[in-house]
Amino acid sequence: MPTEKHTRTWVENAAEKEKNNFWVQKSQRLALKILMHLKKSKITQSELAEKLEVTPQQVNRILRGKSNLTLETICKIERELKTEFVIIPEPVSWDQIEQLNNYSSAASVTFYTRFASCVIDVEDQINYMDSFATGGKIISMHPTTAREHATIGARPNIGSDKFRTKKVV
Amino acid sequence: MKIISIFDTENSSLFAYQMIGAKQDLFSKAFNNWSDTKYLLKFFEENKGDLYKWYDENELMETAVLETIKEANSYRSKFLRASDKKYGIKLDSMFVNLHRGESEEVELMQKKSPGFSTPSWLRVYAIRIESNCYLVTGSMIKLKAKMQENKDGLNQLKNIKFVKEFLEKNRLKTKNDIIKYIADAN
Repeated sequence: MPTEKHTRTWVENAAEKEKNNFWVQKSQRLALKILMHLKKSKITQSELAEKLEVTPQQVNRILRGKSNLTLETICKIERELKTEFVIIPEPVSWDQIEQLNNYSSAASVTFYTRFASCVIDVEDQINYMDSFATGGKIISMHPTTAREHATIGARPNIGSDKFRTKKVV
Repeated sequence: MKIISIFDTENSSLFAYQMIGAKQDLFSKAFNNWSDTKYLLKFFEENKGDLYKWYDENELMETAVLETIKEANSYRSKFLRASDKKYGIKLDSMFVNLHRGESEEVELMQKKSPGFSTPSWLRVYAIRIESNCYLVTGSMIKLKAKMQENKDGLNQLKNIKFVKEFLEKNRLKTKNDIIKYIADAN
């Protein structure tokens, strides 16, 4: 008996998206980083598809943030674009942490905004966030942040009141 | 004209307009676009000038994209909860009048639903069929104060007017009329 193809409703799709949101969010962030990199390097999506030996449709899906990428695919993209999008944190020495603490509190805002995801582990992240909230010192941070920090100016945290200029449309 | 049922519960019913030849209705399309990084980046690049009114000039384009995705996720959750009667969310609480000062007694009233952050630039436009029953006619990321100020806004106004006229012409004035229209079309 032939079966009729079931067309998913908006509610079914939305429920599925809610369920998958924990990884889809990362896929979207990664897609955005790749898109920005392609733009900066003036590499077209077709060129990326060629480099990865996949179809342009597959690249399109990746760049729309809809793809559940494997580590292999991510690493292939990183290799072809000669950059790194996903960084696994390495241990940080106490000397490095002490060095970070010497930066101003304004600089800490930048650190928190940009590199909170680079904090070593959950416990450290909580420590760091607590210390940030009370204007205290940085407990731990990925060494990359220390190197990159020097060139980054302080800016308000994403979602903070300072972030938008409060123009109600 | 095609009308799609998005959800229909005791508390709330949501329908959406689907343009001729389109693959999806305008409500589903909105949430697809608002989770599509490529679409959003292109949109904000094309509307860079308007974006600077919301963000510091030096802020990154990617921040606008990520904020939109985050907002759209919360917005989608709210509609999803409205589709489930156990949450008791009524659609009337999610829509406000599109035109200020219009009486609530107006038949097939033009409405808008803003996103939930303050301020939010996400908008869903709809026609109220009856209490807690709406027909979505479009959506947009509204960066300008007035809809008349850009092409997207003008298209939305055109769409909502077109759908309202269609409903009037075909005497589709209640939820049951809409359900019957969908059933007849299938």
